[in-house]
Amino acid sequence: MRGVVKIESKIQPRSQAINFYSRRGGPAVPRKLTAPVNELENVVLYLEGTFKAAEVPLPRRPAAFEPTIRQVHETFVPPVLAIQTGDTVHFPNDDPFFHNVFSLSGARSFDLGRYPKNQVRSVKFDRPGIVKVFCHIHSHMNAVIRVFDHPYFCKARSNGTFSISQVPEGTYTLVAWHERLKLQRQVIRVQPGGNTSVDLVL
Amino acid sequence: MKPLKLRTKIILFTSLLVIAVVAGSFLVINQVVKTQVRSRLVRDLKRSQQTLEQIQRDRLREMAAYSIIASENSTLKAAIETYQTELQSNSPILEQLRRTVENEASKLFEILKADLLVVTSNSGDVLAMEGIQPATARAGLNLSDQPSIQNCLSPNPRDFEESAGIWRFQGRTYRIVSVPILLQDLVIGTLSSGYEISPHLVETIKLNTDSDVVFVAGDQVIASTFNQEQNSLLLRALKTQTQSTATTASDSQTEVMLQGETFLALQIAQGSPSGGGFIILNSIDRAMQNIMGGIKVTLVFIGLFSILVAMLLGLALSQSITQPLMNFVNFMGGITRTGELQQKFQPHSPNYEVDVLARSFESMAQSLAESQAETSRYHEELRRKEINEEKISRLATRSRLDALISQVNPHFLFNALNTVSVLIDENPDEARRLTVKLANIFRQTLQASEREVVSVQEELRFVQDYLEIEKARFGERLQVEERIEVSNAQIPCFTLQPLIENAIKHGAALKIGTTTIRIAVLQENGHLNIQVSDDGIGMTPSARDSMLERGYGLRNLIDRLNIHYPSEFAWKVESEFEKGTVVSLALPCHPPVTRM
Repeated sequence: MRGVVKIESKIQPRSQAINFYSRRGGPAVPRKLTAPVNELENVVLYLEGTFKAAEVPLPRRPAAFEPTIRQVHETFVPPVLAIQTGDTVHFPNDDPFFHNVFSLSGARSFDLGRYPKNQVRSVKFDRPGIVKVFCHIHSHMNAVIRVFDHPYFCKARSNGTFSISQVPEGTYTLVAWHERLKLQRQVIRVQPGGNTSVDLVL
Repeated sequence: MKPLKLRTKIILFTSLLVIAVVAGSFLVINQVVKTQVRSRLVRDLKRSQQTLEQIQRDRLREMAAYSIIASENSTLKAAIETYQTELQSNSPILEQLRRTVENEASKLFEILKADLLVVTSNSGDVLAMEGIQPATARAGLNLSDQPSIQNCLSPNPRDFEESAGIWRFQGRTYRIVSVPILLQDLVIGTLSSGYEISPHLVETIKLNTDSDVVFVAGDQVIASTFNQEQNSLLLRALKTQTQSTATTASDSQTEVMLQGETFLALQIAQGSPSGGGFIILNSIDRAMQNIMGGIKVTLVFIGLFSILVAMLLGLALSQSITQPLMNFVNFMGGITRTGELQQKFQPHSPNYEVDVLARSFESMAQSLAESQAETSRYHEELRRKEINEEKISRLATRSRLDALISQVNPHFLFNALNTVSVLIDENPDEARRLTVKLANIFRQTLQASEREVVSVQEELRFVQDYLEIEKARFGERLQVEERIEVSNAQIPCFTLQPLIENAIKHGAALKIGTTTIRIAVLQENGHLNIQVSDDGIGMTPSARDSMLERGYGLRNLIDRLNIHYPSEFAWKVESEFEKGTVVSLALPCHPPVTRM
């Protein structure tokens, strides 16, 4: 299944409003991130629906996929991650100072404690849900991990295209989710062996 | 009422004048001080307002700063953000997340030393509330309608202190500053902290500003440095004030009367209009007392001193006026006593007005003296004139009398001498006797001209002597009858004689035959009635008139009686031709007037 997702709603650009307070009430002047964020890359697309019993347990994605959220310049990169239950996410610290990654989410709460540069700590996610990840030391850092109990999800590419492969035949709802936008649903029918093409607008 | 002395009047006048001036000055000073005090109070109020606002601003700024730091708490942020994410899936962990938020809020509350701390989500739902018991009060509470929260949630928030609001919970009033809780650039919630507007707070402000402070919100006094009664009075005053001037500027001073004390009040609008505001009050009376108290003693002293000086000056002034006057009065008294009009006034000290008065008085006295001299001269002259006139009149009378009396003699002498000359040849004895009688008559006449008044008897004797001579002339033709009923009356001499002479001359002499002459002298009814009647020839009326006019005898007698009895006597001549004549005289009994 392929498709293109577009964002037409206005999204506040991601930035650190460091001098928000120093201006004493003036509009925040965002400090640009070192790498500009393409919000399309933060769109997660997934299917909702009942999958065939034959498929249970659902197939796992290729092992080559090593989900990782790095801590770079006081930012979680990527800020959005989509994984399947059972995946282990690595949190390497690339900054020359301590970070402390933690989560209070019901799906998976953890606290990795403080650790210095070049250390990597990992968390395994066993339950589906939305896991918000924060840093105890840098309160503005945040990331979100979508944990699915199936493999039919993906993140959009920088041009908005996406593809979810090997979807069994059936009728599903395709959901386009962005942390800051209202999610969009679209019912799709997946034909066996065929390519389904969907366009979504957020 | 006794009229006041000039001196008393002057002292009274000057004293009253100075008292009026002093009282006026007091009023003016009081007014000036009041104006000054008012403007000073206005300044003080402005300063108090600044202090109050500064205290609040500092407190709010502090709160805001602490809140911002507090909002950077990562656990708090994670809990809020996760809570809102989990809310969508109705997760069992929600309560735990909320507790986490509460826990963090509680720690912050202790650090902030605030009276109230509220954490809301970015939709305004209250997640944690510290400082209010019971904690259940926050359940389901949404504060998104509060301006300070709205400010936090807006994309372009204003200064947090500026948009600080006033919240009221459970009868308590809080001054609240709200700050956003940011995750990166997203507002995920708000953190509001504030302090209670409490009696303790207003007392603290009063300590710092020296002004009374009242916080009023929605027709209710929240905190005040006044007592209850003053509070309710103030509320009433404010109500009538806002009713009367609906569009009053927020920062205007007004005078308020509270329990007999006047205050200058300054209202400071704060937060939302319904949220209430502070009123700062300074007592005008107390300020007046502070200022006037110091100078009042001085003023009273100056006032008393002025009055004293005024009285002394008045005394001196009155002395300078009354003393010369009294001297002058004494001088005039001296004139009255001595009657000496020509005195000169010699004052001890010169005084222009009194000198002018004295000169005028002197010149008046001078002319008075002159006119007095003139008058006495005139009187003297008049008296002399009167004396002269009297003397002249007396002389005239005397000469007339003399003349009248002397008229008698020639006729009589002529007739008598004729008779005697006839008798010398016929009857020398008779002639001798008659001559003696004649001598008697003339002696009588000489005496009479000296005495003027004689008794009736003397006159009768004289008349008898005379009749002796006439009888000798007429012989039997002349008869005389006398009827005399008088004791001792006095009459002018030669009163009877002319009447008898007339009766002989005009009655007997011309009649052929005997003529009887009746002489009656009677005293009746206080009058002496003398009547001489004859039955001689009588007179025609024309003869009678001519007899009176020619002035002989009778005329002469009447003229003399007029002198002796001025208009007090009556006389009558009745005569009929060939029948006779009756001459009547009625004289007063009192002795005749003699002018000698």
